[in-house]
Amino acid sequence: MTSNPTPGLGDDLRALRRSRDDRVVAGVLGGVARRLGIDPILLRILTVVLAVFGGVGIVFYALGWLLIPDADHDSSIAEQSLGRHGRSPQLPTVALAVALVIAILIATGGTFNSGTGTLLLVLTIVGAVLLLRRRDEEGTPPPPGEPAAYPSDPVHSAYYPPSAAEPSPDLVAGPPSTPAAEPAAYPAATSSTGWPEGPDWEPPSTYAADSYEPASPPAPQPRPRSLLGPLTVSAIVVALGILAINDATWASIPVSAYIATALAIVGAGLLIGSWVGRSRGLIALGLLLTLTLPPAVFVADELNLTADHSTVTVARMDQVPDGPQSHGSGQVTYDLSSLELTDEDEIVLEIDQSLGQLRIIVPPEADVTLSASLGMGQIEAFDGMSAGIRPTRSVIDLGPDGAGGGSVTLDLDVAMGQIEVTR
Amino acid sequence: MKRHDTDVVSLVFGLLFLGVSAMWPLVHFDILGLPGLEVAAPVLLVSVGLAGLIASLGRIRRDRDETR
Repeated sequence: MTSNPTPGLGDDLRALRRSRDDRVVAGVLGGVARRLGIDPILLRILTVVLAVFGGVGIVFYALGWLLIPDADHDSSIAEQSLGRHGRSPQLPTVALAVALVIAILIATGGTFNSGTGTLLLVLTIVGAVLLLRRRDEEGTPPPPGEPAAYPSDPVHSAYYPPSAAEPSPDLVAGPPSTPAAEPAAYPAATSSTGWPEGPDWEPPSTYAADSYEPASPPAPQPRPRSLLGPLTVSAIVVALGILAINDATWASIPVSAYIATALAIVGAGLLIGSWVGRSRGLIALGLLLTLTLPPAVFVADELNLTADHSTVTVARMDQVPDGPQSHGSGQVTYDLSSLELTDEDEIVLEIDQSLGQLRIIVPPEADVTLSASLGMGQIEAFDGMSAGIRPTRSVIDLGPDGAGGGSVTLDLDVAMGQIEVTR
Repeated sequence: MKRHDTDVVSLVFGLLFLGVSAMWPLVHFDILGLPGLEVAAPVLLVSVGLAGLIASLGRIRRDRDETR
């Protein structure tokens, strides 16, 4: 870094460390705040707010925990789990290949069952960030397009004070206030260099030395790395692979099963780690998985993305399907138009569909009792229409001949798409 | 890997994650409906918390015995 006078965004990201002294949980926000030169309490409040509203804060925090190395190490938990302690040259290629495969799987929704996407997306992001960090470490020049995207000088001046001796209050991205008033307001953030130079800024020489902890007590001996984390992650990969093989060959394994399995292994790893080895980083992974589990169980599992373009023609009473019918995604048509009913005949059709269009053509003179519900989309029944989120429609339509001509009861449920009932 | 004194944080989160994953089959196979889940989740939290408390207390006691 000393040879590069204008560090770009990559260097700034790479230089991020989880703080050892200024930590509440894992020092993520303490480290980021130090790097940005703002008071960590701002980030903490922001994260808690984001955690309360939708859990995004927890996701960000957990990702930071996984991807930002702590003050004593050069590689993050995720990198260590992937065995990236040293500088093996093949790894980026492997990581790139894995990321590509996952991206393709997500794009095609292919081999894996329906929305395994959530889990894979998280893994892809993790992989992509690792890759970026890796590239930065090797000093590969960025592709030609990038320098424009990250004008290095503004970034540089935003992150690095020109010099510690030169007060530059405008660098402080904290709450707008006069520099003189700050020390009292944030006593905790004031280091020996004093606030006007920026909180916790070290003299430039220390930046060059790539160290972000304040002139810390004699270089702490990094503890030997425990194998537990890598072991656990490998066990997860093996288990998910076995599930995927079963999924592809004979079983139908719901998305949530993948997540629950990974979570169970993370839990087991942590449990072992409470007596043997060290694996606290797994907590971050576990939190991410825990957060993805409910949407997977209650949303993704319910969707059936299997292509389904079926047309069911019912021309005689004995062709009426028995019991609830379930369909995947696509265009499904039930054609009852040529069915002849006497006044006493009663038909009940209960149809579930995941995504797409469900069309029902009822006999011309039958009395139809319709109850249709939809997660999102549009319901058209005879002359009426409902649309939007969770539209429902209950209609009794006697047809052009009034009462008589048999009765048809329709109970239709589509997750997303369109329901159309016509004569 | 070295054996060490009980790491309460790992213990608590390990139990929590195992508990959550153990709930998955109950929900998936509809043994435990949503109302059941509303009871099971707090029960899990309480038991995990108690386990953490007990482990912490045990550690405090051990530390005290050692310093004595």
